[in-house]
Amino acid sequence: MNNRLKVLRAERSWSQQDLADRLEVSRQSVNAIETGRYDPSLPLAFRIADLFTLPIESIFLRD
Amino acid sequence: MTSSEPKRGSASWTPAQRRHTRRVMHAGIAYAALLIPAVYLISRGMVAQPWQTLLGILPAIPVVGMFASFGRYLSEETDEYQRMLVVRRILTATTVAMCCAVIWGFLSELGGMKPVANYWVAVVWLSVQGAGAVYERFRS
Repeated sequence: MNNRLKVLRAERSWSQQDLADRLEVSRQSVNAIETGRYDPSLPLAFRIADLFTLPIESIFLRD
Repeated sequence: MTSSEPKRGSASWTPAQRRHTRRVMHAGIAYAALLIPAVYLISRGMVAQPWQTLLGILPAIPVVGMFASFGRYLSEETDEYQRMLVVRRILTATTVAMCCAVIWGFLSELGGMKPVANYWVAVVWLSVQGAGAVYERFRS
């Protein structure tokens, strides 16, 4: 699954740690999601969508 | 970030990881503190049964505590990615340790190799866990 997390984060000038702090996860988690090594659960995906005030499907995209 | 925005503290460890590491370190210190006198007293024949059995089992208790700490960690960890990594490491360590136990068991029974104490299975398990943690830390 692809995602636009890195782009959305860059638009806000947030570091991975900034985003991790906002999501209350580790920086490694953000890195793993951004690089496609880990697909988040639905609850975490909803938290990400809420943070960016975007629908999930505009952040996470099918391969 | 401004001061009003969320701050999680240490960047590289989750709170559950810090608690788990603290528990494992305490268990390691207790293990050393119990093992040294136990080996000293038993190897010199200074204790008789049933005290020898009691003294012999004492160093195992902190090691059991280490394993229990992994279970507690998995229930406490709220970071799903970190939890997934630990579960994967547990599966890898269990596979390696069981393979070593089975292979060495047959080698000692049929292959003429010297039997080793069962606790080496735990040593292998914990070593693979540690190596996996270091690998993942550098990888991320």
